[in-house]
This record gives sequence, structure tokens and C-alpha cells, in this order.
Amino acid sequence: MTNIAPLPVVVPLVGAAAVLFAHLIVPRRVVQAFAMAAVLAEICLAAVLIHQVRSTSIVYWFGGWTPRGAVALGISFTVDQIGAGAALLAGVVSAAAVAVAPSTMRDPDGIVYALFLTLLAAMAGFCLTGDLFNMFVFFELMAVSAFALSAYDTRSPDALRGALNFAITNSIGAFLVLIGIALLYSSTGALNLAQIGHQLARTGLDNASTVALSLLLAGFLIKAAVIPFHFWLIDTATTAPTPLVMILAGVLDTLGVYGVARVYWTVFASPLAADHRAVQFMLVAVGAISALVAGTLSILFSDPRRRMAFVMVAHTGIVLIGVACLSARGVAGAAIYAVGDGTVKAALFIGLALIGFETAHGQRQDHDVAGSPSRTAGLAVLIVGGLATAGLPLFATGLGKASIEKAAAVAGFPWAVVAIVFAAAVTGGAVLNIASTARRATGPRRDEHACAWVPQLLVASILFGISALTTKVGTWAATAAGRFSDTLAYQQRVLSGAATSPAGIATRYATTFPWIVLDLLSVAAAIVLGSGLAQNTARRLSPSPMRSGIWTAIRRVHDGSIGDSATWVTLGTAGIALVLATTMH
Amino acid sequence: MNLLPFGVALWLFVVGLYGIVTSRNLLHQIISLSVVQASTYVLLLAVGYRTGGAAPVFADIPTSRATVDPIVQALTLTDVVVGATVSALLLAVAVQIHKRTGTLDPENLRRRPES
Repeated sequence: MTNIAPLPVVVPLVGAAAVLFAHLIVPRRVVQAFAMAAVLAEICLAAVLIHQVRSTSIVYWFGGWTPRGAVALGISFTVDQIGAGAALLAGVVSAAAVAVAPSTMRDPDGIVYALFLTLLAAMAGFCLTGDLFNMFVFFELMAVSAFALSAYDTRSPDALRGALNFAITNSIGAFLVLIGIALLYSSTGALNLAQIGHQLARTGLDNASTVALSLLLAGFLIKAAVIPFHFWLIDTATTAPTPLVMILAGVLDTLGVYGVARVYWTVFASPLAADHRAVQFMLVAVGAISALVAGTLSILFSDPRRRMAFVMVAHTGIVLIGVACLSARGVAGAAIYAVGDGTVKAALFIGLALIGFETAHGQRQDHDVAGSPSRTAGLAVLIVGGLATAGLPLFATGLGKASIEKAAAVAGFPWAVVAIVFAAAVTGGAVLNIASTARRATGPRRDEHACAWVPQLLVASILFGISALTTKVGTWAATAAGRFSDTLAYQQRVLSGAATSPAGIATRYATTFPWIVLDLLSVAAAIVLGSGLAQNTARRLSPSPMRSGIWTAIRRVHDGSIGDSATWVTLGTAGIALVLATTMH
Repeated sequence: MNLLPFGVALWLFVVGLYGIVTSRNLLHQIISLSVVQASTYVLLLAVGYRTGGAAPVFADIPTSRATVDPIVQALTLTDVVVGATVSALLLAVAVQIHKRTGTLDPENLRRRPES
């Protein structure tokens, strides 16, 4: 069996170079087809990898530097099912983004497609690598490609500011990760995840590695954009071009949580065995706060893009709760939810583009073409997507949400279950409400490209289809998560090449009785909220001076100031470090 | 172990972060980010320093000779490359902002309030 582990990274990178060369000589349509071919190749490679790692992980040592005497010397790609699955999701969402780029961006040229490909290469590398420093490099490559794309519309000062905020906040996050890596290296002398974990399991956590843990958590959570690290995302998701926001919402955010999970299970799980309750509680709390606060704000803001930005924050919070349970069951739920929800959110941004909330031309256009096919298609996407967002059991959001709820309840956090049900209901309501208010609005007719909506609707339907199909992979996810969280087997596989025996934790679950009721409850509440009834009642009931005071403060805090964003990042990091320092022994 | 380099790294990090938070000029803000990044260079090199160690080039010294850690030097080099990319992109964005709005003050770039 040939080892194809590095190819999902190599192919998009080579594709990016080829696209840059080709765009000088061939028309744009051909360039787009080139880029699409590279993305599809990545998807196929990731799918083959998933098949190859079905019974045991693949370890690829660059330059043939295999471990000597069970000490890792070289740099490895360590591919397991969850990692390969994340690389596949990255490919799928990138394919959707590349497909709709010509109709949702202003004249995308070869450079844009090249950036999408480097972004995909970085995401794939981040998912597949088994080396901590490698993770940092791919983390930075993701950020750099993404913020170059978010600054694409150089005519809009808002978009430029959004890009700056994105770049500066994420760079601070990357430096926190790098400092964490340096500290871990100083106490273990290793950079390979398995080697660091093996070393720490013997020596236990010293002060340097405890600080490293809090810095790595903070750094990855900045990328995940959970509260209080979410300010950059609110700004960028409002101003960036549709295809980039699709990738941000579909995978990039979730990869921050993936980073937390990967580093926890490979490095910190054994030395933290006695103290894991502190980490668990802190991460569940961060996730629950994100779900509650961002969920509430999502329905209070009226601008559709801002709403969606808060929906993203709330949902990343839900994924984080799943991972934070620190159990195979939680990882499985988080994985299913990440795929089911990521594809739905990517489709939702297509829906917004279809009804004409677009930022591609420097400013928001609220052209309203009541009854045009494009609008009808957009509304259909928003309504289906809104129901999926609330957790309709037809889609994997329902199964993932139910699994995360069950994991949280088993881990002893019943209040987190309440937060998840609430967040799903209000975010679903927020999306449905976009549809119900957009339907009523009227405005001047715009000249449309004939039938530009057909491919967009097709892409959105495929994304919904993938979300629905993901409900069938519950058992696969349970096995995959069992292996993902088997720290010892991971280390043995990397350091001594021993084949991992499938871990005994094959959690079986389905959307069974109590949980499916919670799903349906969320959906029902979302429909009520989406119809606008609840907002009107709340407006009538709550005392208005107090409301407007708090409301002004909330809006001011989210006005896109880079300094504010950096302040919150600092406070959040200090908070994480403080919690860990005071609760760990 | 000499704590001075770690103190310097911490100082650079904090002072750079302070610059980012309080700055009223985008160029100053971007350079502050570079200062934050400089703290990671110092930290990495400090982690790999061995007292009395030679440079890790074995062309003209016996392989038994103690050297400083070459791995962190490679990491620092990678980090410098990353930093150059980030700074270049950010400065390009700042130039565009100045072109469009005629200002580099982040306060003037705040989003207009909306409901």
C-alpha cells in the first residue's frame, strides 16, 4: 500500500502554483476549472485516506526519519479517521466555495483561486499532521491565506478593517500557540505530539507545561472564535466575501476546536488524568457561555450577516461543549455536529447571497426582487437551513446535537444541555427570521445574470444532502472517536509502529427517545421565534430605557475595534491561565 | 538557568500587546504586532541555549563538542518567515486603507452604529 498521507496537502499546493501560472495565459473559466480539479483531487485523496485508516492509523515520516529506539526524530503525519474526516470536510466546503466564487465575488481571478487552494492545503495539513510545530505552521498558513482573501475587496474600508482585525487577533493567537510550543519543548525536548505526550506521562506536568497548556488552549480558542475571543469573527464575517465566509463558518472555526481536542488527547490526557475535571469544567463553561450569549445576540441583531456571525459563535460553542466532555462520546458528537452543521452554514451563506444581501460590490445591496426565481431559491435555502440549524433530526445537526447533549449529561453537566437546546432554538429562529422579514421587504428590481442562481441552488442542495447523509455515519464516528481519544494507542503507533487495536470504546447511540424530543423542542421554538412573534412580544414587555442602554453597550463593544479585540483576547487568556493555575495541583 | 532572556521575552510580549491595544496609528499597531512576535524569537532561542555551547555547525568542530540546540534555531527561522509574510500583508492593507479613507487612525475606522 503506497503511503499517500502527505498528498492532500501537496496536491492543493501544487495546484495553487499551477493556477497562478495558468491565469496568465488562459481565461478565468478555465482557471476556475483548474482550481476545482485540485480541490476535487484533495477530496478523493482524503476519502481514500479515510478508507485506508479504517482499522489502524497511518504514520508517514518525512524524509524517512523513522523513530530510533522509540524516540521520534523526524516530522510525521499521523492520520486517523477524525483527522482524515476533517480534511475531507475542508475539501467539500472549499469545493462549494470555489463553485460559487464567480457569482458571489467581484471578478475573482487566478490569485483568488490560488489563495483558496493554499487555504485548503493548510487546513488539510493541520488535520493530518502529528507534529506540534507543524500544527503552528499550518495554523499560520490558514490565517494568512484567509485574511488575504478577506481583504480582497480593497474598495471597502469596512472589509479592510475586518481583514486587519482578523489578521492581528489571529496572529496573537498563533504567537500564544508558539510560546506554548516553546515551553513544552523546553520541558520535554520534543515536538512530535506522541513524543511530548509520552514524555509528560512519565514526568507529569511541571510549571512550564501547565502554562503551555493554557496558552495552547487560548491560541486555538481564538481561531475557534468562542466568547470572549469572538470579536474578530463578528467583524470579518460581516465584511468578507461570501466564499470565504462559507469556509470560515463551515470548517475554519471548527478546526480551532479540533486543535484543542488533538492536543488534549495526544499530549495532556495522561498527565492530566487526576486533574482533568478542572479543564473539563472550564471548557464546558466557555462553550456554554458562547452558546447562550451569542445565541441570544444572534436574534437581537437585525443585519443578516451579523446574525450569521453570532450563529457561528454559538455553534462553535456547542462543538466545544462536545469536545470538552473529554470523552469518546463527546468527540463523536462534536465530529458529527461539525460536519452536519458546517455544511448547513456554508449553504446558508449561499442563501444570503441569493436573496441579495451581498458585500461583493463594496457595500451591502438590499436589492429586492420580490418573486424572482433567485429570491425564491434563496428563501427556500434559508428556511431549510433554519430548520436544520435548529436541529431537525433529518439533518446531522440533530444527531450531533443529541449526541453532544447526551455526552454532557453523562459527564455531569446538565446545565450545558439546557444551553445547547436554547442556542439551537434561538439560532434557528434567527435564521428563519431572516427569511420571514426578507419575504416582506420590497424594493427596486435589479438586472440579474440570467440563471446565476441555478448553480448556487445546486451547490446549496448538495451541502444539505451531505448534512443529511452524515446522519448515517453515527457508528463510524463512534469508533473513530474511540480511537481518537485512545492516547496510549496513538503514542505506541507513532513511536514503535505497533498497530493500534481498535479501542474498546465503541459507543453506540442513536437519536433515541429523550434526545429526539429535545431536538423537536428546539425546532418548534425556532419556528415560533422565526415568525417574529417573540421579538414583538419582548419589545412590548421589556422596559425600553434599560434595554436601549444595554443594547448600545453591546453594539459598541462589537464595532470592530482592533484594540478592543486584543484587550478581550488578553483578558480571556489571563482568565484561562488563572482558572488552570488555581484549580490544578 | 539564567532567567534574563525569559524576562525579556515576557517584556516584549506585554509591551507589544499594550501597543496593539492603545495604538492610534495602524502602522504603529502593525509594528507592535512585530514586537509581540519578537518575544517568541527570544523565547525560542533562550530555550535552546546551552552555556558554553558552540554554534551547531559540525564542519570544523568535533561532533562530541557541546552545542546550542539547532532545532529551536530552525523554528525561529520559520517564525521569522511567517512574521515577514504577515507584516507584508498587513502593511499592504494599511496602504489601501490610507488610500481609501485618508486616515490611519483605527478609531476613525470603527463600524458605524446600526440596529
